[in-house]
Amino acid sequence: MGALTGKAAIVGVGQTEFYRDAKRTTLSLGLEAIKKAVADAGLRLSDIDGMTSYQTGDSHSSNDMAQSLGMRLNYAVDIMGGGSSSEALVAHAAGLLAGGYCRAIVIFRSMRGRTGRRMGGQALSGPQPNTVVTSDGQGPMVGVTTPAQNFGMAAMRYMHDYGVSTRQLAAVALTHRYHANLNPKAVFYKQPLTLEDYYNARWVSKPFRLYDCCLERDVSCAMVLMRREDSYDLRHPPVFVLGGTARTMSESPSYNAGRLHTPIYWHGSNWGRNRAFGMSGVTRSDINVASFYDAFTITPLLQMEGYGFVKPGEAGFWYQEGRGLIDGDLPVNTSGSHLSEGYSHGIQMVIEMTRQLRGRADDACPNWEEGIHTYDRKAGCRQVKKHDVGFCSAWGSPTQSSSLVLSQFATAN
Amino acid sequence: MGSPKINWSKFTINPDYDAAPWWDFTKEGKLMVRSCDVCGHRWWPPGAIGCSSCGNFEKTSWVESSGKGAIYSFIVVTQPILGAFAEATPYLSAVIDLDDMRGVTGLPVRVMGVIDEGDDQAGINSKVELYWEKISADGKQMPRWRLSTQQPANVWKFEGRPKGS
Ligand SMILES: [Zn+2]
Repeated sequence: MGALTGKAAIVGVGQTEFYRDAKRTTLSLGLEAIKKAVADAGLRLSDIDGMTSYQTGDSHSSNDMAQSLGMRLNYAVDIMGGGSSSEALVAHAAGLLAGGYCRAIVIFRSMRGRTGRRMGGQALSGPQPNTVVTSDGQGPMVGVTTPAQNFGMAAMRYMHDYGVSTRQLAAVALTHRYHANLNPKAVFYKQPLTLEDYYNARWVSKPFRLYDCCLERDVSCAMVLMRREDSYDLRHPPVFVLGGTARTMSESPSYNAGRLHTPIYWHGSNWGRNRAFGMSGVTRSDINVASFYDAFTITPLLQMEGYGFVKPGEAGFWYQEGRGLIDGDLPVNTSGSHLSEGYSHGIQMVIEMTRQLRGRADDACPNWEEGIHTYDRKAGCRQVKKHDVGFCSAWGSPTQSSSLVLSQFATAN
Repeated sequence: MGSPKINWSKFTINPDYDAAPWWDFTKEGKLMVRSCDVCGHRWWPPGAIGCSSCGNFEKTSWVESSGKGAIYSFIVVTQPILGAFAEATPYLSAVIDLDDMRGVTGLPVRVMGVIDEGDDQAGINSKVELYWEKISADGKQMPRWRLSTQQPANVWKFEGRPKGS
């Protein structure tokens, strides 16, 4: 186990709704999410003395948030990054709390992912007018600039290598959509997706159709962490940080400049798999619920395989057999996550995991806040039955990954 | 479908110190890859100036490829994002393994290119070859690629919807 296993806990979570057009600034969205997370913990704003965030030059800073909330912080840092940053910042927070840099820390992400800077790269009025290349132009010179296009390259080779087809990609879309159908916060709450819907949707770039791609939205999410000894008498049961990996990289950050030429669909998890479980003190079979960063339908498959939950090439067929559904072998992406809940650059998946491990998934059960669930899916219950240990896997650039093992117990076993 | 029409007037190349020599070679119709003077590793793209095999970036050279290779992976872009490519959609962009360039581990050097043909004709393992297209008044050229006459038997084509699904 790691030196800080079980020493820090997530004690509060909060998020805005997933807007198509929020007509609000990232400051306003962020303030709402932070206030909700602090209230969810049962704390006051004045109890918070640390704040971190991640962004891609598209958001307000911790400084901006603290000023508008009347907070005086002992620690404030904002990092550059998208996917895989929230898990990395949880790792930072565990160290900061243990080191005494602060006693209660907020992590937030606030983005206008739909109406502001879109990761898909298209200008609001259509194609970008001009492209200026200041280096070799590897991507732009061949018209490849967006995440869908970059991950598409990995997807196509993976499908070739393992005999996987779009039918397996569809299985990911359908599974996550089913979970979103149960989640009142999800954009696709109560809106099922059929295989025909999947195949009838337009291409984004082959091999991806519309429902292979995440749902860009305006949203902010936040969470609060404290040291274990401070976490027990708050509003909800604490969810402890056991370990993980933080923005682990592959040997080649580019398609081609590497030495080993591992397949282009390999990424940080193929290198971080032993560290993630080793420092958490758990094995894969201890994991009751998981989430895999689903920017595209291909990415959960590659992460499941990278972290060793299934053998290479098997994850899509695993999905197709329904094993990732809420009552399957390993429920995955229980909120519907990026494909069907809304896209937040990963942080909502840590929030969802926190709710599940508390036993307090927000759903149609009238007393979910006290952890009372019916487990009747037809009646809209979305709490997983067993929720001791959860695994969050996240992905940033094509080669960069983070993971986070959380548990309702400070030590796993 | 013929070669995709790319509007290079919407594409400005203003290379930094690292990539400028590579673009200068394109004026002579030379596709260059970097070569490490210490360990012999070779790679592309030119903007990656250091050797990922030994860490040397102080002494590297340029070597010319014949521009023949095979498709390692590809996508078909159907939605216009970049203005220069707005009227080129759908176009097939590929990661290409060069036939005549290998790194120290014996694996082929990889470059990227737009292929003239679409995914009805091209796929993984398709053999491709280079030609040049002039794109700016100062003589810079862009590598363009098309299917070679001779094709292997094991070309893997993308199936949008497999039978029975
Ligand atoms: Zn070298």
